Amino acid sequence: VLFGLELAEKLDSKAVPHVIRNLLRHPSPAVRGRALRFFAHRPDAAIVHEITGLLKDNNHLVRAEAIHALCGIMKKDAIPITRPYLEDPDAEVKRAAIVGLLQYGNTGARDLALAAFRQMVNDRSCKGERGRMEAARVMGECDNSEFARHLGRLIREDSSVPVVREAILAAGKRKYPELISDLLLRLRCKNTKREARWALMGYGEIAVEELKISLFSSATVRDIRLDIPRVLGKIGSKAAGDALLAGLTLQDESIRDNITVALEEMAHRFPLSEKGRQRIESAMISEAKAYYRRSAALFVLFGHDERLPAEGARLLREMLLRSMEDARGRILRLLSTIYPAGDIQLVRASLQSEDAARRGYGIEFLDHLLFGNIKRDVFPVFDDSHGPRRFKKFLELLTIDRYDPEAALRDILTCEDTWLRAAAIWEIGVRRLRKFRGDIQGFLNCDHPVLKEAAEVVITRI
Amino acid sequence: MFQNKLTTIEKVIFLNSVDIFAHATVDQLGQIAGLTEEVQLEPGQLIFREGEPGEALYLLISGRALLQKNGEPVSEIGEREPLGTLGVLDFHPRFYTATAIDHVHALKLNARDFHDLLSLDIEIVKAVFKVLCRRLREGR
Repeated sequence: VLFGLELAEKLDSKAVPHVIRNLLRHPSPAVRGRALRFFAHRPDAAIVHEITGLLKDNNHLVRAEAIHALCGIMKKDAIPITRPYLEDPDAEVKRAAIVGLLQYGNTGARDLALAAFRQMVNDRSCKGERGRMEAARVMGECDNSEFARHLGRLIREDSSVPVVREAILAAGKRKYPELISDLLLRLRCKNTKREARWALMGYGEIAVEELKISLFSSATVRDIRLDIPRVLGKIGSKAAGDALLAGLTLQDESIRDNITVALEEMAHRFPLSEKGRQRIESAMISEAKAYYRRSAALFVLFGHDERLPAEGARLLREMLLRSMEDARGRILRLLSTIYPAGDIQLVRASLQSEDAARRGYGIEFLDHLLFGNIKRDVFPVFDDSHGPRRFKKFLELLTIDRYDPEAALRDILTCEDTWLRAAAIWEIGVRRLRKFRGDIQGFLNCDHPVLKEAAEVVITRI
Repeated sequence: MFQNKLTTIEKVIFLNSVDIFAHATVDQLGQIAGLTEEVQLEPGQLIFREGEPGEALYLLISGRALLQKNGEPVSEIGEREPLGTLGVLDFHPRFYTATAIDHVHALKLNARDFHDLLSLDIEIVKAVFKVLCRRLREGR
């Protein structure tokens, strides 16, 4: 019956209200409530009497829906009937009365509703949890100059997760700009992350500037920065796209990973501008250079075969391989924003194949597809040549004459990736490279516990 | 290879070699390492009993463990092998009884802590899914 009611709300038949009217007497309170909601959206003065009768229903949700329906049908004329329900002990019923009075009441009625609302929202006791949740819902349904302040407090300080969630959802509906920073902080909490993401997406264009600032700020918690590209991608506006394109220059590879995923999604919906295309090309070339540098480091530190089984491999080797694989993934995602996505999808599937012939076909296809600077600077990432030839080619592309294990380790020790640096410190310990003693000593006072801990162990070995 | 008191990076190096975490990034392994507890077990010491709820995963750094079903030996678990992997994911009762054969040095990962971490990071969930799907495809 509930499913039928949901369908009926979407139908445009004159016979429907007659059928649904009978459901107001259905034994299930859920059905009675849903039928009332139907009439709240399709006002029908002929059934006011029946709906008024349901104000005395023994189920509180039905009583609340009856108030909504009456207000929807009678507008300001419903106020004298619904006003007494501001004193109702049930929070849902009280909310329905508050919303009705705020939407259709005169100044006096609205003041009464606000007084009842304040009582609910300010009851910080455990017993008041239900009331605060309903107060948050009121703020999602109506506008008032004081609501942003109350919502901000609930989002920041309330001890109840359901209350915080309702407050976040209400903020997403009303889009108060002053709450964006509170919502951003809520991206960090596992219990509220989903709602905060949804709310920020609901803000759309209004939130883009603040999202961009937080994405670029190293003062923002990394977990939040990691979530922002997804939100920007879902907002999907030109400004959101520009923020994502600008983010391609960020050092953090995991954030860049998320940015390329969001850009790839957006590219299916929006054509790239010439400037956007240039930014993508420039980002791909940077990713390719990082790939060549990591590949060269891998070669000088661990030899030429990059496909050795993982077992027994050293952490640094594993991390360099992973980092190269990630860079390739980012390049492929970026390629799909400026080349036909279907073609790049085909290449991606071929490159992941265990069949060498299929991988070769994918590389050949890509070779024919790419052109210009991208072909010259990026295609070698997918080149399947091995060993010294590949190493030499990458050094040429990096315009470096000589690269040895010491230079590679120094490069890694100064990179942005903390774990890669930690692995390099560990590798120095494994190889007992005494010439790095000074570098390792520098990490002994480091703020990052993993780097400090690794340095403390390694310094005893060298 | 490893000392008795492991540093975070040593735990990461070790976790990196464990099948179920094969697709996890080092960043994620660092988070998992933070949840593990080092345990030392004497020869003959019971690790878990058949039918008990699967509340923790054990990753053997050194030593061996014996798996028994209805009191009968079934197999041995050695270095770098996990004990009770699937139980951590679905809290299913232990299928075997596990006992230390010799001195066992292991990392213990509490299932609830691991679930908390999974709920925080979809990327770790994806990494675990990849391993489980691979096992399914391989008919394991």
